[in-house]
Amino acid sequence: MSDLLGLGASGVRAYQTALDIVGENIANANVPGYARRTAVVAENPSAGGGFPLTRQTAAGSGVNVSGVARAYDAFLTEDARTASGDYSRAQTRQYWLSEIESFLNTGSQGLSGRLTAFYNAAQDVASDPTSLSARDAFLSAAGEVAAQFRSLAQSFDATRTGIKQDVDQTVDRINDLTSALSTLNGTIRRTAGGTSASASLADERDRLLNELGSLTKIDVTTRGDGTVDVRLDNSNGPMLLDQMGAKLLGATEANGKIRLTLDPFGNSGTIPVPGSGVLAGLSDAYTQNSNSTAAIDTLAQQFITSVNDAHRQGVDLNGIAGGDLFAASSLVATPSRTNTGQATLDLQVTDESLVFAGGYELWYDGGTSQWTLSRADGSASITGSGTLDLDGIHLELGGAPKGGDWFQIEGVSGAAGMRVLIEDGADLAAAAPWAADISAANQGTGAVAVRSNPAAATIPAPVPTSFTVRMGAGSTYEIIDTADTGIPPTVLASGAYVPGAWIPVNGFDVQLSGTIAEGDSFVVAPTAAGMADNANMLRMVDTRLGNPGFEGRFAREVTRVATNLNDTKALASATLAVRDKALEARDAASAVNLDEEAADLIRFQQAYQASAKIIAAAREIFQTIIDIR
Amino acid sequence: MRVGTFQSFQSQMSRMGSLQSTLAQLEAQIASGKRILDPSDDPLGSSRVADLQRSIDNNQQFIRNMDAITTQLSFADSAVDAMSNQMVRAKELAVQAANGTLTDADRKVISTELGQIIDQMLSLSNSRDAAGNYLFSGASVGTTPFARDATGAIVWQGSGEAPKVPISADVAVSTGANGLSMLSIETSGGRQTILASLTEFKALLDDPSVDAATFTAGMEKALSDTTAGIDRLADQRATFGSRMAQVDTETGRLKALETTMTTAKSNLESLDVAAAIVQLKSAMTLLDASQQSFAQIKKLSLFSYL
Repeated sequence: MSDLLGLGASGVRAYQTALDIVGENIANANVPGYARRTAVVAENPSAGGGFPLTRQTAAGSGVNVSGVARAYDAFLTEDARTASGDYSRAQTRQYWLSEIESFLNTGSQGLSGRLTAFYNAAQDVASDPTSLSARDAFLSAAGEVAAQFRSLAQSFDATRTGIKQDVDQTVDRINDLTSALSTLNGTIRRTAGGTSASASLADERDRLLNELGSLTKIDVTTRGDGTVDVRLDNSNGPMLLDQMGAKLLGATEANGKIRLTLDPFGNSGTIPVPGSGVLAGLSDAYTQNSNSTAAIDTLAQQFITSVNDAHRQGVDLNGIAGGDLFAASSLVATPSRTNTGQATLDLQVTDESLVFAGGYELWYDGGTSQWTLSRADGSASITGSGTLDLDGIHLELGGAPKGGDWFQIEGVSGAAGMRVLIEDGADLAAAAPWAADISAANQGTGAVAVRSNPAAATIPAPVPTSFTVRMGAGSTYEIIDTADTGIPPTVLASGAYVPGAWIPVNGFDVQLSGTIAEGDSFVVAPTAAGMADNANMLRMVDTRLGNPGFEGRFAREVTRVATNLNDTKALASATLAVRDKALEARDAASAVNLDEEAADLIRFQQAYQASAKIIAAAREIFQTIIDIR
Repeated sequence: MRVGTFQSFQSQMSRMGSLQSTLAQLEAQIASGKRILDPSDDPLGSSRVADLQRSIDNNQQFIRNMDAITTQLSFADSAVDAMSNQMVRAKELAVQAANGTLTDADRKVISTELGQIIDQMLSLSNSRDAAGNYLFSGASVGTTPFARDATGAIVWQGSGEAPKVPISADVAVSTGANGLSMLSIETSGGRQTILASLTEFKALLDDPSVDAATFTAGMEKALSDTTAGIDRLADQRATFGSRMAQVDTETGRLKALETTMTTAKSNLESLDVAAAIVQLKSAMTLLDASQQSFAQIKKLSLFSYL
């Protein structure tokens, strides 16, 4: 009699396992990264062949599950991983570039609009140079420009900090993943292959590698036992994980770029960020942010310099020479992150020249309720409450500070430190420093004009404060001191009269034109208070010229970011399509299809039932023999 | 090809998600009427829109400047027009006074009227604009341009030239005139202001001791001076008039340019609403179809039959 009972039992056992596996597949159908498993059902090898204690049988020895196969295609898995990395890079870059675009381009309320408003307000002053309301409106427009530059600088800095935080978190996650993979490598090495356990470890391994691949570009080498070695970037890249364990990755900021360090505690060398994954997207956005920050800073510096240069060449409504209109640096108090109180702080600089260049620190002592303001190098300090005065800095302190609250006070320059120095419209230097006038006694109809020329210095010392240009005999001009009452006065310079020619004098050029009679005179004197002269205002208006001017250069920076973002959006949708295709291909090989599992379920259920019937048949046959008496 | 159950859900969701974001974009475009919502939608177009907007703003500023110039020039022109009328009357008085048969009483009457004309001329020369600035004091808009000194002579106190206001990137137009140049005429007694000449004329009428020859010569001068004065003021009005004409022409040009630029800007950034609505409809149909087919297809499962 054949071992019918044994055959049936082997079938029942094998198909029970196969059903378990189908059940496992169905249960995990919605788990990302789960690779479909199949029971490898194999015929039991025929026993016997002459061995003394076994019986030769004609029939086989039944069936068993020889292993659990995992539906897995190494190439497709790697392809999906790479595609995910490329998409993550584009998506991350798109997110941060949109952020930059949103604060950079705020239409007419943005910097471009503010600059236009500034120049147009300057023209309003030029139309009515003595109008205090036009002057105040101009100063307020200048304040808006400075505020917009500062706000841009703050937004850039917030973005830089935000990106760096994301970089740090991503690097931390990469380190977590490599360390988890290292542990997993050890477990995989100790687990027998072809089992459910090994399949589930391989799933976990692939899940970790997928996540790692979406964070940065990796190169994976899978060994025969299922353990992996991971390199950064490509097969020649630095080793992140080998059989010895994982190396720690770190990130630093250098020259406006993100750089990576490997084993940050030992190795000071940096490596570039590989070109795929979230980290690459963050690094791209960081570089764009740094470039834009630098461009806006340069723009601010050049705008300040050219407007200040123009403003310094004029005189204000009080007849006083103009100073700087904008300051390119300011002291800024930054609260420490660890502050728990709600202190209010009003910082004013009373004397710029006394401010210590190295910066200051401000502490609150909870025990004595006193503030201490000290130079950063500790060379001077002052303690008190309410108000503090040190080195031309005036601090008014209030609110509800808590012990240990700390502020750093530092000079910031560029766009971040921009502010308007003039508060009173009358102090706006709209007029040219020199004014020319026709003498009422002139017999000719000649006209006079004057233009500022700081380089002109043709009169020997002592240089008078007011000049008279007089027409002498024979169509020659003579320059004399207006205060010289001598008869005849001392001629300081002279020359032939050429109508319309500019004659350099001291700090200005003078131009005579028309019919001038002998003895006619013109006075060139420093511009007096209250003169409706707009020559210097027009000089300030002219600072917008240039190709491109300040407004155009800002617009170009917006376009640069916009173009980058536009490219990134296109890249994101292209890489998304590629990623979806790659995932479909991978899942075609390894994902669970419920209909297929349902069919398997029916198939194995029937096989199980049939095997059970074999056992029943064997019992009946055995019973038949027992029943023979 | 095998289709992973989980992945087929995922990719359907992803496709519907992308349709929904297309819908959101179209909706935002239609709501704002603009094709370019962010510069990244069309970097080049957006940069040209910004350039055009800046040119439009600048043009508007120039138009504003020209409005201010026109206002100032109108003030100045109306003052000079009134001066002209006074001078015509002064000339009639000079003709009357030159008549040798006048009695002292007749001269007195002429002198009195001439005195009023001089006062009127002085007051017109010291006209102010809407902001209270003197129109004819040159740059020193806070200083009375003409005043009587201790001897009763009318002297010039202003200085410099009225500011020139830009009407385009490289053209600037003067908003007023220097009163001294404006009122100076060539006379037989050298170059003097109309006001000084009239004062001289009145002094001669008021002086009973003057001999006939001097009086006749003085009257001749008065006659030629008033004629020169009328000509001078007419010239000045012509100058103001030509400036106003220049400003008018330029304003017209800039307004036409603004229309052109506004159209160009609108062409760049405006949405073709009809086309956008067609796109919206088509995207909505597509989304609706995907949702329905998704719901139908996902109902199909072998498990339903077990």
